[in-house]
Amino acid sequence: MMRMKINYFGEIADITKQTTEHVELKDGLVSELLSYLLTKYKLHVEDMHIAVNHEIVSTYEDVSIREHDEVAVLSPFAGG
Amino acid sequence: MKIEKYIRQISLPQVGEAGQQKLGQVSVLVVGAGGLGNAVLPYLAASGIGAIGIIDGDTITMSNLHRQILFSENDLHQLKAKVAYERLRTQFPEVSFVAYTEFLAAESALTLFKDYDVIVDATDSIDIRYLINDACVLTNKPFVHASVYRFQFQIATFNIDGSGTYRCLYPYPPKTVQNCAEAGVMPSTVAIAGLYQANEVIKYALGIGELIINKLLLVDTLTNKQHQFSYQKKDHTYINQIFYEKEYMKQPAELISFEDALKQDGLFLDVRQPDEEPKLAFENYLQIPLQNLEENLFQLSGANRIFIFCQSGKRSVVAHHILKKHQLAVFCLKDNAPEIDKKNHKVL
Repeated sequence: MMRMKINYFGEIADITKQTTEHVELKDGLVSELLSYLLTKYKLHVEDMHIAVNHEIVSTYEDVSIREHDEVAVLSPFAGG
Repeated sequence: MKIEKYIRQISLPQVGEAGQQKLGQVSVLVVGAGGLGNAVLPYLAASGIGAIGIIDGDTITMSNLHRQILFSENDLHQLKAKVAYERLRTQFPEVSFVAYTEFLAAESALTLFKDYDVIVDATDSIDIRYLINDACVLTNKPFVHASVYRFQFQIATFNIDGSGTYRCLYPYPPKTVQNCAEAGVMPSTVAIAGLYQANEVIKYALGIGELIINKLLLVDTLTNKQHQFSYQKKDHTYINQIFYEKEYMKQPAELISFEDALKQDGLFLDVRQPDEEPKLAFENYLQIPLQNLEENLFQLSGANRIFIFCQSGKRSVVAHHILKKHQLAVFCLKDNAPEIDKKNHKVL
């Protein structure tokens, strides 16, 4: 098990009701994180964009996350 | 050029008189005269940008006034683009302004964008943002994006010299997002976002500093934290004319004359309201008001062909679009079938 610190932005932070959360992931994969967010917060997978160390990663490639990586979950904003 | 007016910015080593001249030669189209537009427009004008287009089909409401500072209570219900234009051209007479009092449409976007050097995305609609992106790709124009969610905003500049586009960052429109009206916003947040946009345009015009390209800047005005996220540039050759038309333009309705329609086996569909005069009744005639069309598709399932008409022809085109999506053989009656005498309640 790896304990990851996840930062939430925009509407995602409103839905999760927090700006950071510590999440335990077995294999440390982006797909695990997406699955966690989908199950716990009913977030649409297509609407979540994951950045690992400030780099937005393709959710199709299933990148590995290491324990001290900075992980962010964001989505497009609409307002103007 | 009034040197004295711009002397404080000309004094900057990065600007100078040559830079000021560059600003005067640049034309910028600002899409949206809402919260972002109200911040970006006066500051672009104040910097001495040569020409500024303002496009917005919306009108001013009371709830706009706290953040859309070009407007006052005297302007309520008036067109935002027109009021902004009047206000700005009085304050900045050396800038050439054009107001387009309509919403950006796919049909006109490509022609319009060709007239400008930079496009500023100051809209509050995700759908229009994808239209701006794709039209910028097709016309090879850079665009400066900002969008706001409560106390946070995102800002990035796209499509400059082969840099990434909005679709590289967010390939497809999201399923659920809220705009300012739903989420709430402070005037200062949206103004800061708009000023970042003005700053990007100015740097681009002058060729100085660094632009926010191939990355997204996310600013949280509550915590004063800034985050930069880089993204991979993706192939966008699929954004071509055919893709654009398929994505944004309604297919032109297929037309048929009333005479030819009578010879074929089909149903004449009247999409007017039941209370609209005249009431019609003839063979193979059916009335389903446009707004009830989708839930009454079952009534059309047995028809081999459907010939649509209404009072002016406008609703028929929308109905054609809806029914076409459901794979039905549909036609609009040519010229809205003057043969159906809608005044004298009969088919001539």
